[in-house]
Amino acid sequence: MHIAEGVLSAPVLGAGAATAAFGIWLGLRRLEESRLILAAVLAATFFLGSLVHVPLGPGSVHLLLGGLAGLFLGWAAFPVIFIGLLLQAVLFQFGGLLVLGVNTCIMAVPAVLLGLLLRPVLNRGGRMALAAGFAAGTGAVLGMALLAAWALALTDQGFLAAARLIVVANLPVAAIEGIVTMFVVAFLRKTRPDLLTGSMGLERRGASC
Amino acid sequence: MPITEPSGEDSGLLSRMDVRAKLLATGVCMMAVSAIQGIGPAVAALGFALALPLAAGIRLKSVMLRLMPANFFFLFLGLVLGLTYPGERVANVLRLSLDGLEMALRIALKGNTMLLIFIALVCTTSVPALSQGLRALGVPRKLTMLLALTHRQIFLVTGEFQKLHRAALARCFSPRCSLHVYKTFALLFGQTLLRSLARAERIHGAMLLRGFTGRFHILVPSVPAWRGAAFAALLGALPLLICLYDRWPP
Repeated sequence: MHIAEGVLSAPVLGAGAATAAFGIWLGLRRLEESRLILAAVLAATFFLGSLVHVPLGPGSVHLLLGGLAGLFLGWAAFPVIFIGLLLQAVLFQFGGLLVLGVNTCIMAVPAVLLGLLLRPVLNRGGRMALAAGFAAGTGAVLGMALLAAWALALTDQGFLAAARLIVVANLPVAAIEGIVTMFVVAFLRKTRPDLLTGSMGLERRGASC
Repeated sequence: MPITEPSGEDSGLLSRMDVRAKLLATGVCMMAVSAIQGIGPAVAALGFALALPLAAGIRLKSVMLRLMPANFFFLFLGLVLGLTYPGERVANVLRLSLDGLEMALRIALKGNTMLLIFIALVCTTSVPALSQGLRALGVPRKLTMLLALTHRQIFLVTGEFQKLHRAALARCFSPRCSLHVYKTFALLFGQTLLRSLARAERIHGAMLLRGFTGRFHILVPSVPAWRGAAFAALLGALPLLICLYDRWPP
């Protein structure tokens, strides 16, 4: 979910960049240096999600996998999503440089919040874990759509109609994202449960950048 | 969508410039363009930006293709703003808003200008060089390392997914709107992740055995700093002048 360059006002761009910088700083502190390679694989997988089109009615949509990023990485999702968006801008010209901070916040804030909130539920296992997976996937897309709409509405009240359309258009995407995230969580709980419980060692406390 | 890697070896003048200077010039140019309010100065800035990809040795067709996704968004925004923005209406069937159309035009002009600057200055730099340039500008080492490693992993992970996807297609997997298809995509993602993680751990172990210390070295000789500074100042001056003219016309 990208907002293009030239759309947002300077105060919104500035606030987005500052929030993203804080989130990235916090995420990097939690990211174990020797595990950067694993974070890079996760970043690449989330990047891949944006390239794979999943059928929806007569058309198709691409996945965002933000909820999954939050569940895997917690705060470390901030730098990982930032890098994914930077590479999308460099390789495909999706988004841009000045708007990168806002786009990072749009994707990372709901992902991190839902990840922190739902990880304990995920650890309980069973149907609760599946429900947590669905909620993370759906909630992340809805959160992203709402944040994108908020950024547009803060720039100019005339964007309100476009903002509403963005939220409505993302409702089916949120449902599909929830289903896919739920199945991925179910699969990984059987094969690599350490990925979901944070015991893989991606995060640590009190580390420096 | 195929992933094309910026090689950083284009024949143009811009691709040979110092990465730090290019990043600084990009920041200055884009901030100046984003501050422009008038349509006339925005057109002038677009004219300036159109020359940059040509100086970078990028073909016009490739530039147009790269601009397409953003322009779909600008088109959507233009339609919505034209139909819903308050203010004076144009006398036609759709009764489009004049202010809305003007705003959409300004956004499209500025957006395309900023993208052209980005394509010419940043997209002509290879990602490893970009990572080094960002590090030289004070970006934390962990973040620049993550950028370099992610860039490498993207091609490996995508290749892994394509392999699994081909195997599924060979077993008569037919993507359509059904729960079974979503579950299959989820399993493909999960399996791709597992295989990629296992390979990444093996590669990292091999790198450590060969003395990897967390630094990637670039063998291309760097451009002298004064040339980079002069280049950044020259390139940033014109958009700044256009922006100043727009804000405080003579």
